[in-house]
Amino acid sequence: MTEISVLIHTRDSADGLRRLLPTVAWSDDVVVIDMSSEDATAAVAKAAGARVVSIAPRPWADALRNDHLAEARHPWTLVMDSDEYLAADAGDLLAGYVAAADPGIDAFALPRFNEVAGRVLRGPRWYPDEQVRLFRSDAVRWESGHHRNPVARSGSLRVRIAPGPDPVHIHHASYASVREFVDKQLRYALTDDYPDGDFDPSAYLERVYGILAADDGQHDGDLGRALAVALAWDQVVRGLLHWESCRPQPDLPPFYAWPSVTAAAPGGHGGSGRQPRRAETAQTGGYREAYEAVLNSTSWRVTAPLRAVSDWRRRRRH
Amino acid sequence: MPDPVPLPGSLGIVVPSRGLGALLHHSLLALRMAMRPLDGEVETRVVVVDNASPVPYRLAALAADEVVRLDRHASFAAACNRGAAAADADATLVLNNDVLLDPRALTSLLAHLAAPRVGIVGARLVFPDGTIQHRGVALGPDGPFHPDRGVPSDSVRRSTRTVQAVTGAAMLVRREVLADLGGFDEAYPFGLEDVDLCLHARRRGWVVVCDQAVDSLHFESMTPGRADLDAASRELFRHRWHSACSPDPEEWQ
Repeated sequence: MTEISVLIHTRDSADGLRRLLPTVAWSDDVVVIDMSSEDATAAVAKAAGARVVSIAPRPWADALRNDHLAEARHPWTLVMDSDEYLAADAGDLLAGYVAAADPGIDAFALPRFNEVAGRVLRGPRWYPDEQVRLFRSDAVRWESGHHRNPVARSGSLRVRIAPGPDPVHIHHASYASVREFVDKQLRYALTDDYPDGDFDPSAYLERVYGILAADDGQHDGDLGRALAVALAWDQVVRGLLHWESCRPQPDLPPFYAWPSVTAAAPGGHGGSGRQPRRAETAQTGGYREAYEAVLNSTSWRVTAPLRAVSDWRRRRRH
Repeated sequence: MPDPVPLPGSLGIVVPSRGLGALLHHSLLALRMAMRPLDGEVETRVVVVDNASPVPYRLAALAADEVVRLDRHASFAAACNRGAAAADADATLVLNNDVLLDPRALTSLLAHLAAPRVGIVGARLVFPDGTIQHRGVALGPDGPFHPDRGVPSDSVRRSTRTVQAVTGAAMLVRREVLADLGGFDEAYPFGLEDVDLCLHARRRGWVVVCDQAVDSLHFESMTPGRADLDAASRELFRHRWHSACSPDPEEWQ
């Protein structure tokens, strides 16, 4: 019998659990932490032989996971979300990973297939999307916030990417439409934790342009583009929420000049070998500093000057 | 009026497949057409075994009842066994994703199971140009081969053949045979697990026949990388069956 416990946090996810639980039935220690569901979640979990721990409802904050890591009885724990599931051969393969794991390895990162609006997305932003989900039960903790990978309890986390050529994947199908996607992203943004200080608008803007640049239009068509815009906008929203949470509240720079950006990113994680287009940029100066990280990894054409942002940065420096 | 042919209570159709989503889609549409005469007569279940396709299949996009997803590529034998277990039917049709069944093919194959000793039924398969791809597998001095391969189907007789083996590209197997033999032998990496199953079945007293009444289309092996795996399978087959089976006499081939 495999030495892996499975930990699932859930609220009102009976349908997801019906799909997930048969795919983790290879484990004899499946724990469902039920945040006071009002649907059939607890019943579905019990019927599948899982142990159910009921707790008061909380927003989807990952720090909650820490409270229940001790529930796992095996030396290794696999954490799954209720909108995810595994392949039919995952149990055997995961058992193989832990049996062969070097003692120096704390955790495995599993790639994830993300299905949105009926399509499995392949762009570099969406795949391989490695998630640190299989780990020695006493080795990790989560910091607060949504969808962060866990960190080590002490020292740094030694993570191995699931070995190829055909690694175990997490299968994730959570959003049936762009509308649902936007809805959930907004709810995560509204319930996330924002540090009281440390607000740097250019960090958010970098992420905005990084997200837009990473949609190379090669993989996921209009859907990919729509989701990229939604995610980029999500960074704007998060920037505002972060700004509001700071004490004292800092100045908010002019966000009003949003140029449109078209970009071609080189092939994501694997590298497609395509040559990036030669960068053509407006001569506004200043913005190159702000987006250096983005420029190093993509080539892109700015179709309107980013003067407002560069002005703000210049004022801030003096 | 002849007696109606007894049909199995349930029929599972197992389609192991890797990638080639468009081909799979059309193969399943042809399968659905062939299943229509069985409506109300036989309980059917179509199980696609997603054999580590780079982009996973979505059930909603396929004319199937279930997708069994494997993240790691498995041998054809292992994929078939997984599918057969999921289908759990009185008779299982193993079907390749590059076979387009004739609309009459299923009824034609199932009719042969009326004879209780028949354990495995093969299908007659043609290339796009109408020449024979498979009408039974014979054993020659160099091992298994397809007699009449490449010959126009019109010139090959249509009477049912009792054969040593049939191809797994479209192979109907009784539940009892799979149970008796423990399924396909997963030691074969690619190819010859089908012939192996047939030879073992014959050893246990089952009869293997190949239906000749109806031609279904077989594009034959669009899966890349086949040649290397074939060699390992051939070696295993030779090792297993070298002195344990008789070649077909020439007039039977």
